[in-house]
Amino acid sequence: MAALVIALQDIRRALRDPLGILMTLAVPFVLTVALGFVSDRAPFGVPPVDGFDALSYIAPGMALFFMMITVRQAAKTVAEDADRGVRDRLRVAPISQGSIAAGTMASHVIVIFLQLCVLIAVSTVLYGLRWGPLGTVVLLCLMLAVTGGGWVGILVAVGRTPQRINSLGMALTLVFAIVSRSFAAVIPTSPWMDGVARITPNYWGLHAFSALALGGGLSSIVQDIAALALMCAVLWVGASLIGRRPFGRRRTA
Amino acid sequence: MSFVEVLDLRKSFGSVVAVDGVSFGIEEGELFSLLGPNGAGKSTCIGMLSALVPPSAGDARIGGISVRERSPALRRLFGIVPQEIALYEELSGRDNLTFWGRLYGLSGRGLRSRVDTLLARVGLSDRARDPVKALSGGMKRRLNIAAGIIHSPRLVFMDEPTVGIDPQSRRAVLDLILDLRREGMTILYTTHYMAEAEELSDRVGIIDHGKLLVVGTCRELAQSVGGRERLRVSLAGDEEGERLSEKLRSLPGLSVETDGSRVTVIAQKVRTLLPAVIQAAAEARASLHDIEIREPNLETVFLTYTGRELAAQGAE
Repeated sequence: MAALVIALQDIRRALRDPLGILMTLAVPFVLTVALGFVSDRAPFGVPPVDGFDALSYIAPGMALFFMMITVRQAAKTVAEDADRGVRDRLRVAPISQGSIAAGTMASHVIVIFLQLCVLIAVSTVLYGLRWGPLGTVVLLCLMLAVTGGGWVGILVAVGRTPQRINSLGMALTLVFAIVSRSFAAVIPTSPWMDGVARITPNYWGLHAFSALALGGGLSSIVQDIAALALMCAVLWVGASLIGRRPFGRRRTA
Repeated sequence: MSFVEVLDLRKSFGSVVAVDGVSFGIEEGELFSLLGPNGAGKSTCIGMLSALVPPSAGDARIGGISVRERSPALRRLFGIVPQEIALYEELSGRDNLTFWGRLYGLSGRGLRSRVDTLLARVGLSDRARDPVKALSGGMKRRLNIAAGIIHSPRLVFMDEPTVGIDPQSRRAVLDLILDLRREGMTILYTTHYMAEAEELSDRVGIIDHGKLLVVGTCRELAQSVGGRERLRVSLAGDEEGERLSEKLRSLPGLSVETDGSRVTVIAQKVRTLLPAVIQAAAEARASLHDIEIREPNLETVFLTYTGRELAAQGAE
């Protein structure tokens, strides 16, 4: 119950943050529309039947890029709350530390999930992009959102201050997008870079979205889902070990 | 048994001892102030008492429950007003109070009524829908207090709740605290403002370098340093200070402290010595720049126990 109260409160805050809404929902929306024009696709037109469809690759890459931007913003918010003493006030309330972590995590997971859904819905409705079976796509988005929550945890634990989290988060966002070739599938890559890319949610997300877009089903993305689940577990354990209660840590004595 | 019992509480951060064996008790309905400078250990004390910071040694009990337990029953007993404005800035005052009330198990009509009452009490009924970031510093401070007492706790920890606000807002905050005290709420208050401690407190504890040096009512503390007044003379230079000190030490019934060009005379009724001090200055060929008489107050007490002035210390 307390976790739900905290999650709803955090979502309410996110909805009242104009910059947050702009970065989380508006910019991906506008970019999707813009990329459609750049790809010579008329809104509500007929999608190409054969040949390379740049938009079908760029759209998932962009979704994952903006997911990481939201991760950075979420981690920064957690650190700012700690700075303002809000986390301490939560910790003295008669609720469990687990509820605080779950509530905080849930709100960020929901925001990331909604962000992915908005981008998928817009690109589907406007440009007829084929994302794959709805249920499987939703499951993949959910898994990506939970993994994003894990990245929020590790960013808070490692970065500790809003300023450091901001810089670190931006660096991760760019590096992840580059090594996983989020925007440029045609750029040749080396085996070692492919290996590095596997530590990014972008890589597994892109791999899974591509498989689904090519007509695959749940069985074709089991490996990707498992990799994201493992990544999520490692991130949470890491965050707990490094930061000790990343969502409830008292940073000053 | 006191409502709050602090028993040889200690906290170290590596080699730094932040709180060094502090013991005191607070009776129910009492306002107890911890007075001390920057880094004295006040906030760490509150951190341990509110179960945020685990003690390195010792224990504290609130209503008979150890803070080491960190139990929900313990945490329902108290509220906290941190030094920071621990509120969600994007949300309104009403939304903030409603949120904190829900976390303490309030709901429905009871919660709405409590929120309305508190908003009226802190004078923010007409600004209840404004986001916190749009409020003035004093308003935020008052709302911060309201959030700390939303669940009507028996005890509230207030960690320097008047830091960084203008005198008028400070007055409003102090009046609010006095009201809470009159209603019988137990309050542990930390401050580095002596005037606040004197005005608000039933008892004061002076803390410095993590040690609680003395505890008592303001009157008891003044008596503990002999109830003696201080006459401080400021001179043109250090040599004049030395000459005047030598002259004054020959007078009976007083003690003299010298700090460069400043000479302090400590005596029971220092005013009666004023002519003698002026004459001694003339004989010592010392030109007086300033003379100040201080009656025994918390500053005198602080100076006596720590050897330095609290006013010279920074804010924690």
